[in-house]
Amino acid sequence: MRTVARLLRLFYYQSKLKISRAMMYRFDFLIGMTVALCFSSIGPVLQYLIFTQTKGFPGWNLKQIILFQGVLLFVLGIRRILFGDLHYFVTELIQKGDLDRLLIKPSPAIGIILASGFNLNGIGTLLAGSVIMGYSIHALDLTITAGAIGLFALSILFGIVLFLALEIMFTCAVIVLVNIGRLDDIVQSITGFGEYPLSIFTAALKIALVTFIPFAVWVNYPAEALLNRWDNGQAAVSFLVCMLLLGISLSFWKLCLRRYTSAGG
Amino acid sequence: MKPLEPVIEVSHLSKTFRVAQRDKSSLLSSLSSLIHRQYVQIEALRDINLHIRKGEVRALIGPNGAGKSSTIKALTGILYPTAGSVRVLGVDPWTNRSRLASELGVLFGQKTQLWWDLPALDTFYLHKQMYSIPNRTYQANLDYFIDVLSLHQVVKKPVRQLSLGERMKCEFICALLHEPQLVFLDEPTIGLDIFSKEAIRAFVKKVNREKGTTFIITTHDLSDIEDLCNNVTIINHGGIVFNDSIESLGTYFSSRKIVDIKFQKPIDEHELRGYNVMSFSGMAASIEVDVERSPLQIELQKLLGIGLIQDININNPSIESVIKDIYSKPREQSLGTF
Repeated sequence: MRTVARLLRLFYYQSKLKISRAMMYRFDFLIGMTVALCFSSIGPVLQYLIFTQTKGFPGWNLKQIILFQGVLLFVLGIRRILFGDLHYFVTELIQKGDLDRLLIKPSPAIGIILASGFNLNGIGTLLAGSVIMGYSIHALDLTITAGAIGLFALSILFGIVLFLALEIMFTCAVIVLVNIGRLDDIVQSITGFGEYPLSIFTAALKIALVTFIPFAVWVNYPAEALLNRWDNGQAAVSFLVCMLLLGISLSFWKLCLRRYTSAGG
Repeated sequence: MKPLEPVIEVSHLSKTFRVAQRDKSSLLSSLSSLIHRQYVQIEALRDINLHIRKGEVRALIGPNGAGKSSTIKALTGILYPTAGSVRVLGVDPWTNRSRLASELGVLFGQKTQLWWDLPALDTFYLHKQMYSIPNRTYQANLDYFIDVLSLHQVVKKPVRQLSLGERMKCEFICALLHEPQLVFLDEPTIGLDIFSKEAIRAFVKKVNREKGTTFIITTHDLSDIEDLCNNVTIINHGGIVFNDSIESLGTYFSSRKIVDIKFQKPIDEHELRGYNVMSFSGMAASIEVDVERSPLQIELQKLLGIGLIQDININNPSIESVIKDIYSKPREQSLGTF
């Protein structure tokens, strides 16, 4: 627990330094924010077009889909803020043999890696998501109870746990294979399944997205929590699998570290 | 007198790497490596035995690819050994890496741990958090290092605006801020001018003296070794080929002497035939004499007969030439020497 507290503190201070650095290059920061906001608005527009030009998504009306998009942007924003720099950081670290530096720090190296992913540009996406969510809640005339907020937060938390597991796996893959550009692309495409309502998938895929690869926790569950359509049993299974995947990824990490050969001195 | 406690105890340490190898540099060879790749076993370290006591300043040197970095990586718990045992500050570095890390300081002369775009003070503060340094200790140490290294204004400027010497001094602060017992310095003076080198060396000596910190230095700069180190460990071909005091290194060739002789008038180089002439410039010569083959007195008498002498000095071979000789020995011979 003390290690987790220390890593959270480290994340906080590293993030502060990254904000200081971003402020030194204000123009780049402003451009990054603007681009993030512009790209964020494309998603809901695209969803609107798909929804209106097709039969729509079973079990979802247009306003609910816009809420879903808001949650998606909110989650993507959080993910980018927490882990946006991670892939670049890890690849650089392994390819240049700089992991050595982290291995001789007093906190677990994987913790330091995960605490180094802060990216300020995610704020634009997070803001866009928050605004769209707020608008949709108002448009749908939803009553948001404390329980709904709790379930929403819980889903976000387990979504982060799942993402941590994937990032640890990614780091392991880079340690073993060093260069994994295409493999990363494939994984990114698969995680894209979590960005659509579960109801559009076949029964088998639906089960997979709740159990083996519980990507449903990212957007589906928080959106369902706000819409008061929460399924306790389904969520419990997914949360359990998220924890299990985190455990497995940490075991992989320990194995990979034994195989780590560093770079030439 | 109670012997100083050991900081590092290494016995029979070996490390073998499996490395992919391609014989030819052709497209066909690259494509065939996709299906069938050849691997070779590289014995990076073999049977390393090493004991380092608290408060020592030890040089760990060797030619490129000799195994210095692998040794340090094994000592810091970065690499798992294939065989042998290592105890650093009384613990096994692989199973206690995080705990040991608080007692280790590391400086890589060719890599920076400072945040490039921000003042060095920001990185120091991040280190404070990472190592959980108490406020009072952090401030006291920071003030001490800033004073000793005269970095009062430097630490407030963005790192990218600092000179190499200033940056290296800041790297030292990063490595020492948490009061480690053992510090690894990898090429600490690389690329520095003579003044910065002197400042860094004086700093290392002061910290070693005042705080009792043990330093292990890997360097190719022999003046670092002569100025700083009590003991020298030379690694070549993955094994230790010399492990003794700096004085012993100076008298490594006890049977060889270097006679530097300056004549009053120019002489013909031909007159020095039969001697191992290291250098000759008409009026001066540097000659190596093997005193086991012929006593020094007889050799000097012969030299005095060549011409009128203005000055004469007799020295041991330089440490540089000793090290060069040790480095140039082939694998089997060099490992058999020690």
